[in-house]
Amino acid sequence: MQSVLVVFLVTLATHGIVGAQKTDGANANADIEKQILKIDDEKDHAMQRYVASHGEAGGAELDQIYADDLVFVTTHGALLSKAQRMQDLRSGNLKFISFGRDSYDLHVYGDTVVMTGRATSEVIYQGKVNKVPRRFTNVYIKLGGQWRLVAHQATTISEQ
Amino acid sequence: MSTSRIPFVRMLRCLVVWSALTATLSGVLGAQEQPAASQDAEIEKEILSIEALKNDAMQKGETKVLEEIYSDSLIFVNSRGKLLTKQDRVKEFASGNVKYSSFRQGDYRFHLYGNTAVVTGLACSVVDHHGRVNQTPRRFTSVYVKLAGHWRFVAHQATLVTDSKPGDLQYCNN
Repeated sequence: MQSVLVVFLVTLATHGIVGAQKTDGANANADIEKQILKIDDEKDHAMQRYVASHGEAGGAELDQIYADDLVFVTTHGALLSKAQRMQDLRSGNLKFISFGRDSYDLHVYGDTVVMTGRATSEVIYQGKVNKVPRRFTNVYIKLGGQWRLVAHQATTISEQ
Repeated sequence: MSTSRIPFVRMLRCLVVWSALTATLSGVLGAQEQPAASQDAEIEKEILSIEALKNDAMQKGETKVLEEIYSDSLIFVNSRGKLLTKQDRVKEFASGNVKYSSFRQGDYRFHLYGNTAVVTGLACSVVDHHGRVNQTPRRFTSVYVKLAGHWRFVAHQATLVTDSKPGDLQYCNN
């Protein structure tokens, strides 16, 4: 009878520990997802200010979020470095008519987060209006204690 | 030994000790630099071999191999902007809805961050995708993460290259 009780208590305790570990892991990921959504939001705001001011405002924030070796692929398939992306933003080639993003999906792998979403902003790029939704992937990695955007790619949605 | 030779011997000893220290330090520093560079080269080699396996399996429709390489939580955005899961992507190959009449993928560029590798490249394959032939070059970004000791393909996005500067598509044109 005593041994049955011991087995029962051990099983109960083990379940409790495993459950707590799972909860801790889930909580940690939820916390990371919250951090990433906040940073991504800050990036978008900084980008809009940077574009509107032709590089006079928002640059410091973007510089902090974009990793130095950022790889950025535009909806036209052009591969840009961080410097080229910043130049493109402040050049006056891009104007936002409206700004929108939704359908986020995040996957956390330790210090790496893969985020996808849908951009619905209406923009004028090099004189052409683009209002077709784009699917994007952002990759954030924690570098020196800070989440940095290391890769971005956008693709025009031509098939749902 | 005469007293006049003592300073010379001391100097000689100092020189020997100095040379030994310098050599040791150079060796230690060199050894520290070498593994980081060779580790990166090793990772790139490992990922390129997985890419080769994946590309081969895509051409042959070997879904078992693809299932091994694809992470369970794979996020795959095709060149039409459609978001696919691992199951969706494997099903495309199992159903025969993706057929390659020529296969060419390369111009790989690596960015390594510990257990994560971000790889960009160009695909210039001619592919019949659900009855529509695509021969426009695509720029892609793939993300590999080391999970439980194995590099797994966790994300991929492709975009048609519709705007390029001279030299951008050199890989596809050669």
